[in-house]
Amino acid sequence: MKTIKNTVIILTVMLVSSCSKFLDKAPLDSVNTSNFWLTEDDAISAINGAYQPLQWPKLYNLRMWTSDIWGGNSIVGAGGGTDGIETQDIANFVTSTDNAAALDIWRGPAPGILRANLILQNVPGMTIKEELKNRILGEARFLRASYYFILVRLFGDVPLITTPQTPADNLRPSRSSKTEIYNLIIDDFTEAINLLPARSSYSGKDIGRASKGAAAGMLAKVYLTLGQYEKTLALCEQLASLGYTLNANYSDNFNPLTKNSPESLFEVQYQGKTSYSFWDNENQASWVSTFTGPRNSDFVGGGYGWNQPTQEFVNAYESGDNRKDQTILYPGCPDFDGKAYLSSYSTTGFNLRKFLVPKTISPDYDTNPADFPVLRYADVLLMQAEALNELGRTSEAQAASTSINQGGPLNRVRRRAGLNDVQGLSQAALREKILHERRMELAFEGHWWFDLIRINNGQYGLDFLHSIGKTNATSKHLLLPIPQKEIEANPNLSQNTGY
Amino acid sequence: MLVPMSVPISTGYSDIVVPSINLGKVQNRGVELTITSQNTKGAFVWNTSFNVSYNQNRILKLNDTIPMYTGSIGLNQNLSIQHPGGYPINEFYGFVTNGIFQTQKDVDDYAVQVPGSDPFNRTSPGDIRFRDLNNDGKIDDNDRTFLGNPNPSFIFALNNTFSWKGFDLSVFLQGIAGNKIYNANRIYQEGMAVAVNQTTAVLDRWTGANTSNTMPRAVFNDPNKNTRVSDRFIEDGSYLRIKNVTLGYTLPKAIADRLKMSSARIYLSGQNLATFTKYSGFDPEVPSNGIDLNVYPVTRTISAGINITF
Repeated sequence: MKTIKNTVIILTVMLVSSCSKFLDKAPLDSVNTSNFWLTEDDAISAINGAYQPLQWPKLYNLRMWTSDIWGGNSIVGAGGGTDGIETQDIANFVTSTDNAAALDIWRGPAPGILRANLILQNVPGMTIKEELKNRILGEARFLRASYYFILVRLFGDVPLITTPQTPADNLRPSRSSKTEIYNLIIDDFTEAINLLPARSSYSGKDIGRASKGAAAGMLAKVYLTLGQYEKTLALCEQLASLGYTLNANYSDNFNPLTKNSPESLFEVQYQGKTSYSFWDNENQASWVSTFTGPRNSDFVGGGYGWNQPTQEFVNAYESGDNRKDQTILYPGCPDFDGKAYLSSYSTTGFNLRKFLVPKTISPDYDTNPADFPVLRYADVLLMQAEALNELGRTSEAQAASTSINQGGPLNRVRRRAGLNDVQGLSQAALREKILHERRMELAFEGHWWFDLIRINNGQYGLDFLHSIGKTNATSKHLLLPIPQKEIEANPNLSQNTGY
Repeated sequence: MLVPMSVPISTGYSDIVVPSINLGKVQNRGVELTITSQNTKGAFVWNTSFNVSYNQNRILKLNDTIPMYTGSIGLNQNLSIQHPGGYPINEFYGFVTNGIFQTQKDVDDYAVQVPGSDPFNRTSPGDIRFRDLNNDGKIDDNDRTFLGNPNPSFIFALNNTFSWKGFDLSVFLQGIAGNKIYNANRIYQEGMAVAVNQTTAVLDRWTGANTSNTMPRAVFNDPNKNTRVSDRFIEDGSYLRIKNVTLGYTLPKAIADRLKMSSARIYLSGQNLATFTKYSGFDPEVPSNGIDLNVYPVTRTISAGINITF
């Protein structure tokens, strides 16, 4: 009897075990949570995937830099008519809740946040080298905060999602307050500063990953946006010791031959040559040269004529500013790649030059390897100058420069641009001067809109927009509408006031 | 009812490639009636078969109580709604039109529709007036409502066959009644927002006070969004169609035998010979969601043939 009993047990065990081995096969054609999160390569490919949404046209390949059009630095131009209508609508301040650009910008960060959340959930339990683990967790924190920083500035209150959602979770969260979102962003960037290595410790293919300096610079910008100038200043001073310097040539910041230069804190990396489709999400080539190249010219591969600077913007250059010739194409400007510029290329008479990559480097529309700058040291110096000025240390903010890497922060940036030092301005006058410097230095890199909406709770932006004739702009336009499609999928979301 | 799951974008998962889920409970109630009759016998044979079905479908319950919006045609705006409050599947959902603003005063006196600084970026005379359903003084997404049912109430078919001596004739009619179609082609054919071909319907457009109360002004970019999802492009989808007529003649057996054939028949047949409908689009036979966007119309086919059996 006992033998039988044992045999039955053994048989049962055998059946169960053979069953599990035979039937419970992991899918061989895809990865899933049961056959992933095991090796160092898994962790690295996961974090690489979390960077990817930055490259998409929903963010830095198109939408982020078109925000300079909203801010009045330029017009869409392009093919005219309804080409870029969603950007025209935002720039004319007639944005509706089905605006395609707002939908893109809502869509862009979401997969990045999910991928970062998956890493933060799974990587801590992996048995991989501690150094690599810390770096990857730091990168995930950096990326999650970067995505939320885009969302919170453009949409205000947004759902706060810090763990990957499953169908069992509440998939329809309501909006968390801006304060809660900023708390997460600050916490993430702070932790990223602790976890990430300095830029100098990256080599080879890892150059361009988020670093300690990148996280510190982003956090400085967060505090600047919140008006916490002491914290901004402390971070800017900390960055000075991390080896960042201004490039002697302004245009090196946009040149694919000098990518990740000493001035760069963080840029979206593009490879140029790719087996991926240019138009799909997985684009590895930069769109910006293709899109901003003058239409009907043969300056660059593509040449869709987007982002044509306005006369008002061009007039804003101080005389002698060497950035003008490096930023815009105007009648009589130096030839581009041996080709003369014709004002007939543009409806405003101007085109962008900053991001153009000659055909010797990028022969086709889909081959541009240039990175897109997200944060560079000139931005940090201008943040430092602004923080000093707002803290009442106006004279330090406009301290003289002795070289582009010596002296007061504002005047170092001006010196590189070939301009004289600013000195003796009042706090209010210097505030204007610094913002003007930001507008010219960072033009078309997607910063101007954020500057307009952050200062004086956006009143600075409204005053500016009204002054250039955009009288439609009202306080509701300081935020984009939550896409109607999303509200329909998640009725717990409220719409922004006025839409 | 299996439908694509509605996934908020904020989850990070695709809101476009989504799993199908069992949405909930749908009730279909109706009556089906089939009549087959032999009208005459003898040398002249006439048979008739007729069937009609009446059906009403209603969504009784969704998995969660949240209505689902579906039927996007690439406009960032959905055309249809799945609503648990007893509404049919794919009910159209959008704004209700209320004539056309004839004067600037009409615009100024009405709820704020699209504000702006000039006639090229704001609601202006010649634009469609949409109803302010919640009376809050502005026209926004909360002013949308149920616009019509794309599911037919009646589906019917009538087949008559006649035969006399060697001749045979069959006439097959088919149709539906009581459904609505969203004629999405008109967004482009009557949009008047960009320089593309339009139908002659736009010749009757608004060109000044009291010139039209149905076809809006032609204005670049359509600032008022006259082409937004509304009852403007919703049409009655009822139709009756002569689906097939076939006339045949079978050779008498004596002649067939002489030609060493066991039988021979010649025939002439026509498909889709005529359609009776008020629908303005190419073809009222559209997908079951009732959205007509580039639906290729059925072709009229005339065929003649000979059947020979040895």
